Amino acid sequence: MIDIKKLCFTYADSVRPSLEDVNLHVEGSEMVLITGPSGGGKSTLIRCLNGIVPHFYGGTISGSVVVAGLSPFKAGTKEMAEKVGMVFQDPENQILTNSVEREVAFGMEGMGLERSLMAKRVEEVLDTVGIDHLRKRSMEGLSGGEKQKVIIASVLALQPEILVLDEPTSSLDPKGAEEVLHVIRRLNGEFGTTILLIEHRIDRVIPFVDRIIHMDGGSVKFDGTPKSWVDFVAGLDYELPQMLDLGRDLKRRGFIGEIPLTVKEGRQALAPVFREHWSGTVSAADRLREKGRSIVCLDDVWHKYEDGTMGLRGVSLNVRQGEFLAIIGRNASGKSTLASHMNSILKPTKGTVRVEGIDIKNESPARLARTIGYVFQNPNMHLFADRVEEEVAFILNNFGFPEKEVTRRTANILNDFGLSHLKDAYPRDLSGGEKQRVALASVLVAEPKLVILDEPTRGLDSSRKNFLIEYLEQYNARGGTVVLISHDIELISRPCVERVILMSEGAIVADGPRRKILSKSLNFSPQINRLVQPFGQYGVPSDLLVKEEILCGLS
Amino acid sequence: MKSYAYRWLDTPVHHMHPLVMTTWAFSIMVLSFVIEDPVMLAALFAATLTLVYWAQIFDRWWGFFKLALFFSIFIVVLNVIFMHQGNTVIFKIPWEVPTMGHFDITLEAFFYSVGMAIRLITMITAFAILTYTVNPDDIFEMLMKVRPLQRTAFLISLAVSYVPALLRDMDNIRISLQTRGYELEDKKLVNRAKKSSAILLPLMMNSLDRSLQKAESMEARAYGTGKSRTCLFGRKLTGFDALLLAASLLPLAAMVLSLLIPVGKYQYYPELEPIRLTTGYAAAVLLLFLAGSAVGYLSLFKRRVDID
Repeated sequence: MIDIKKLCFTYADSVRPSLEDVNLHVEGSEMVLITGPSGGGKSTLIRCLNGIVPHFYGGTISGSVVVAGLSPFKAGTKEMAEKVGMVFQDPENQILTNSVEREVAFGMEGMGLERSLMAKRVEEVLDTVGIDHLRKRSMEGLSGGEKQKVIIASVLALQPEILVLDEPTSSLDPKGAEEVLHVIRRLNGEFGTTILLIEHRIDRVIPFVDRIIHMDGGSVKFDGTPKSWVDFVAGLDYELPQMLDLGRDLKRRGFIGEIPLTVKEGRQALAPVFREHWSGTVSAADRLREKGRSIVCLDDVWHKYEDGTMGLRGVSLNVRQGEFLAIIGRNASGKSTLASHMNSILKPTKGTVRVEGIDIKNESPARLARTIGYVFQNPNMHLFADRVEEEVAFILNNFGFPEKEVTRRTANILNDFGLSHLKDAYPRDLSGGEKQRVALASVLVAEPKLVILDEPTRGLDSSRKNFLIEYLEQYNARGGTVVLISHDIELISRPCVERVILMSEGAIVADGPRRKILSKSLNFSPQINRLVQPFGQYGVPSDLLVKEEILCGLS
Repeated sequence: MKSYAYRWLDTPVHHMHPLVMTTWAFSIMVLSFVIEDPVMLAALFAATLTLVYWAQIFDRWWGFFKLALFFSIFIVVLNVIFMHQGNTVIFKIPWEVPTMGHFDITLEAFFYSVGMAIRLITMITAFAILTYTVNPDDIFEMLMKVRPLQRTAFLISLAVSYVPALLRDMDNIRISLQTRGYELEDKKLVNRAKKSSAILLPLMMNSLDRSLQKAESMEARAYGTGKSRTCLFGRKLTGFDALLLAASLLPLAAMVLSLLIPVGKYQYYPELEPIRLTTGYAAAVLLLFLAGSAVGYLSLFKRRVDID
């Protein structure tokens, strides 16, 4: 189905090749996961399959690519669109019309298909993707997951033989991501569509893929089965999901023969291990720091949006200095609304918000920025300047710091974040991970007492995610307060998080230590916790959250 | 949670044919350009408000109105400072302003700018009604039937659907600047305007990023194959739609009439022309109001026919 030989490609505005000597063969009906660090050439490679590279972006290309019997370089993108369907990261930026049926028909209309044929295909793809109930809806009112499914349907309507997806879930919440991945699995399993998928959340897809291709530095570093890939990344700076990491450690110690890929496989593999080797000594002592004074205090806060939706319903919360707090909950449960009240981005309709004991009713976010920093989900929202160094210094200049201090602090934080070599680069030209680090540095350079991070790891690869959490740990250890909003339960289960708040329908429904909130929950438990649930009979505590706690208890 | 885009509502105005609403909005905009009389302009503005009411979009229109009001205040302030025509001085600047010297603020300049402000608010209201009651795809499809207009039509459709994303980006950038200590609030209007200009560059860059991704998505869905574009849907113009179309042209007819009679002219300078409240004048104001709002009233009948 896909045959790539000695493929090399360099973008028109770059001197370094993005792809170097790539050789690849994919059979029909295969489901292939392409992974590897940011900037490794994954997105460029898949864009070669339908000719977007080089036709749309320009550049120098050599080698050969044959997809479904056609060369994308000769055929061009329009002809290739009927062979290769392509779905990108952010559904918001792929929407071209205002309603679901029209969006699905968009490509077919452009190809001049007859109305009756279009109507038939629209019916088929709406059913295939399972969005028939959305057909009359406007795109504006759909959730992220629903929008992405509409985009997949619109691509499938052109009846491609191959479906290529570039991080299709990275801008979606877990429910939306699960819905999209379910559709992808179904297309591959039931309809035999060849799938090439780029995805950072490996734990979500590894049980369903046939092959993994690992790319780094523009070339293929690994091509094989998921289980052998887990061994391959052992020597790399690549953090595996907790359960795979546990499986690899247990295999290395000789406890198990095969690395489990799912919770079910894990339970089967671990049953004899726990029965025979569980010693019962668990290092599960949670970090409990002495609580400082109150930094932010919300007292019976209500918020009603302009369209009448209730954002918050009587929320009371006290965040103390030095706390590491995580806020979790479904989409639109009020997490970001709550955080936006902490620095006056939003004003309460009723109730009071105090920062360091002072009512902030009449304060602007700019005046509170010295005390409370806010890192947004989309790093592009932080990038205004012409150079990385200027970007980071922006906040300090706004606060009127002396020039020497601005230079000192900027240099220090660029060094801490490994960005010194990029200080003269244009921030928007950086890779996703680099942008995220610049965004974080641009806020933390002012050393706010409390930092709010709204979904900071969405779309980040595992090593970048690890870097972020380590930095936040250090910041917290120096006395900084962290409020982390995230859907990533694996991230929140890490020991640095002390307190977890669960929100629903604009209210706090649970507030307590991490272990209490994340244990034995149907939706909000990490994989490790779900894995240990049946083993109470062997003395395994049901509130374990990370793999180190299991490894510690095995003799 | 702010929503700037079209959303379907079950109102008589939303049920109208896109051609009718587009023609009506265009007619209102052209007529408000031609009319000078401030009372008649106010009548035309009142006519547009009836459609805001029937379309049940008051809350969403209010956002547009606040924007229009901001620009209107700007227009009034600039006009009274820079337009020194008119005989009725209402305020003498007691000191010398650099590069401008001594100058007077006149009643005529004030009323002239108020007239301009009403004109702007009327035009923006007509645009808001069109944005919130007509699916951009319907306009696109309508224009697609004329093949030479296909590319332009798609560009317009994309541009219109882009406005909500642009406004959302603007909100986000404003918040992001503030959270990094950049104070946008200022008591002085000039300073506020100057500070707000910091939003423009990132807004432009975001728009370029977004455009590139949209273009990539279009490319991947075979846009521009060179074949004649077909449409999955297509709404036919019924007899009643034709009647509504005629009603939507009434403001244009009023414009032609105003040029012939002439009605709607008004002399601001050198002194404000007195407004004579004669029966003829009152009738002209009433007719103008009816011409602007007729399409809304007729749409109620169409809705009744739909229900029957």
